[in-house]
Amino acid sequence: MMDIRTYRRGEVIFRQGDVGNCMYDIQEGKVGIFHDYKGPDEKQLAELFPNKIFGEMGLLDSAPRSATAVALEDSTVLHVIPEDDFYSYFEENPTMVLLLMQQMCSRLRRTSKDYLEACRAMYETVEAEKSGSEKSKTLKDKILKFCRRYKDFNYQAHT
Amino acid sequence: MNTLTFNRNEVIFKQGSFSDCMYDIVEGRVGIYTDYGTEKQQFLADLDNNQVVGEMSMLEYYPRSATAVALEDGTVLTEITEDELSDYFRNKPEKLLLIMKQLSRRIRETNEKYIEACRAVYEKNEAERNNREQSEWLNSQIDTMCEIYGNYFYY
Repeated sequence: MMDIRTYRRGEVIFRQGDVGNCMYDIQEGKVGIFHDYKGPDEKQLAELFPNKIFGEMGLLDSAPRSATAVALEDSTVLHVIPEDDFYSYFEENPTMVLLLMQQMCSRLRRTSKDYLEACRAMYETVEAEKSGSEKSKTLKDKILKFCRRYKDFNYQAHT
Repeated sequence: MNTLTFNRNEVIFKQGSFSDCMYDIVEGRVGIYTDYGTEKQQFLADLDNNQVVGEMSMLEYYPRSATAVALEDGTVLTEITEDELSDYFRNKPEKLLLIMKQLSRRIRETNEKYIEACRAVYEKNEAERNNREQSEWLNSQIDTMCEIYGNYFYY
């Protein structure tokens, strides 16, 4: 028996910090993903439409939700998928799940690449220091980029 | 999908090599080692049938992080390339869930490491600009980050 829920405009689907254990497939309506929803640092991270899965990290990892999900329209209809329903959901929607897996891979590759770049910037900084040479403009720009990232780090909408 | 057979002590894939496939163990046993064949050799795991090996480095496009060696004669593996993943998962959905769970955990861990790395770059920059001493945390981060980059560059 599929778990289908309908939400009104403004209704919270799950909150940042809550423990998650299911993912959602949008059947109708619109969902907004927010950092610090209704707080001083509120920032909308994404707007999601029908045929999109979100909240998968909750099902897969039981990690605390990294953002808040809110219905942006009346009659926002969601298929709620806990772990127990994963296989039947996959059987009915193999393409969507495989696409999701691909997206997760892309995300992992991007973050790994960013991490490696930060390590490289540090390595080159230390090398410049050791040899007493001036940092290149490229290196200085990279350092600035990572400093900025650190300062306004908003977790991406990977709930 | 290709089926491969290995004898005892035959290397399946080497640490540092480029990965473009994963392996499903059908029969036999596979040992995972870092620095295989050197004095620094470290045994990490012993995998047997119905386990999968090499999936993360394939999905991450990273060089292999360890060496996989057949531990028994007649160790049989199914080789699965990225193109064959969909078919593989349709047949073994439990593997899909397992791998997605690993991906999810890895995404979270890498993200956390990335935030720390950004913080380290920021703090080092601040220490330089203000001629301040570097904290113990910062020094330890710097060592880790240089080692990570050094290893990757080596491959």
